[in-house]
Amino acid sequence: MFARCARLSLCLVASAVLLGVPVGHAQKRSDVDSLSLVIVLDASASVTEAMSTFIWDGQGDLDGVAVSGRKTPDSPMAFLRGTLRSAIVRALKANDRIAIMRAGNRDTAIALAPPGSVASQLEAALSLSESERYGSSPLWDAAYLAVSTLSGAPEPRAIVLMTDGMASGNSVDSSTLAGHAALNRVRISAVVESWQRPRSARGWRISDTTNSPWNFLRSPFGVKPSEELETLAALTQGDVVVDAGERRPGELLVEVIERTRHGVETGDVAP
Amino acid sequence: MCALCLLSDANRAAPARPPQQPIFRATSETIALYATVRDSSGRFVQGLAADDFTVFEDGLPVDIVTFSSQPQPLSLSVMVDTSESTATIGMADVPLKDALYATIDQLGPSDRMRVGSFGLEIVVGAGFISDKERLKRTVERELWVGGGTPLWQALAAALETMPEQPPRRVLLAFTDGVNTGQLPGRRSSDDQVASLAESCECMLFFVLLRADVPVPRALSTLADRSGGGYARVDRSGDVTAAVKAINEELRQQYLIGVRPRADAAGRHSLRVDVRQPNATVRSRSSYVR
Repeated sequence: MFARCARLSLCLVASAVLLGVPVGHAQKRSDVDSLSLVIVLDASASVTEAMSTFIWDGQGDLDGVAVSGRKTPDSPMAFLRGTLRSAIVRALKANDRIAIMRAGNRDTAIALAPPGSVASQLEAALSLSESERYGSSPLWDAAYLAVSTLSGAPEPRAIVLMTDGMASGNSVDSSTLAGHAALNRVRISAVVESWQRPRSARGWRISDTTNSPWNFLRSPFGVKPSEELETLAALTQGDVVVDAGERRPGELLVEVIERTRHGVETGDVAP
Repeated sequence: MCALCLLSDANRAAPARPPQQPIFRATSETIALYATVRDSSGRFVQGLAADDFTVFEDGLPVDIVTFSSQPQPLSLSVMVDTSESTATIGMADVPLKDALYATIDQLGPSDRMRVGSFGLEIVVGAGFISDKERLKRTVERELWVGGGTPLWQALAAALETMPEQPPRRVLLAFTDGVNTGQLPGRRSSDDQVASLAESCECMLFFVLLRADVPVPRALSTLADRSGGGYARVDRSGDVTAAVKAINEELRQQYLIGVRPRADAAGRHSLRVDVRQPNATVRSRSSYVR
């Protein structure tokens, strides 16, 4: 992976130099109160269930808030709307511009808007049909569209993907996306929801579903789901955090957005 | 009916074909049949001409207006069963990645393919491409195991996007063959899959990833009706041989374009006869006008 990553880095740097785009340096700015941000939600069944399956057991909490749920197909979405909305609102500043999209909606144009639009954007992003929910996760296609949307926006520009990392059904590969992002100076970060070590935020251990059917995905060929996201983040000076069964999607989203803002301020970027 | 298990001899006997590939373009005045002809030993019969065939529509002969013995370009949609049951029974025991790579490697220069999967989610694949490295990357990086086997839903989803593709349309599914785990949002059945395959003129091929059970009747019926076929892994778990057998069949099909007789809308039966002793023909058994 390192070799591939290094080759791609060299290629991107060479391309960027040819095009006169500075790459590999932090964008030090004093005005970081105006982040241009696109949040890409992977709303497919695997990830929404990863984020909230423990609730289905009738116990546990989400982002530290105790909830109780029942096993219904719309339960994950219902829970996620609230926790994500409060997290995004908490992470944004007044001059930020944001767009929220879901990965499966890669063909629909998106537009950056003030933070006051979070609730309506989130509602639209999470309103999907059952066939889409049980469909593909074209993460790279969606992020490519997000980069294009951000390309004309004020810097700093960032994308945060909320996903389990299990991309599928893409027409663009992650290498192409990395080049597009680097040339447009867009950082790509991710909150990766994992099926490992199910445990609530309060430390309650719940039944381990790692080896049970139905509720999780894994690679048949040993691919680590976060691998390509980590490569993308490294190449674009982004950040990846893994929610390893702690079910803190909202808290981690805030953390990643704040790290992005802080990284821009301090120049403390990924190598 | 399907004799793919006998194809190893046929594979050795098959000479290379010239690279020219006349492309059949269906019109409202013609319909295309892709016919596989085998002798009594299951070997492909080659070198036949248009005069060797007779096509019947609703029992009456029709005019053959186009004919080619050269392989036609493929629009190949591959759907991989990534359910838990397949992971347990299939992927753990058979070199599925090798088989998928073999499928990709055998694509001709004019062929296009996409890779999808079904299990917890149904992924049809983004688009048909001919870039073999991209296809292999999709196999390695975009298949995820989990869930049940929404077989009919997955096949229906793949078929729904096939009409916009140019002929020859082929759907190749790797599965353990048991439909379980209907996903929310849509209902599908083998009858609906058959109807979709018929209307979009798509051949269905299956690779059964289990050697310990007979090929389910629903799968063999779907394959037969569409003019497709099936193969299964052998006791040693060799799935690549099954893939190569199907690929060889696709290279040996005759294109027969006919002018239909019927003006009436609806389903019309088709039958292809060949003037060759002890030979059998497999092609689709109907079309919808």
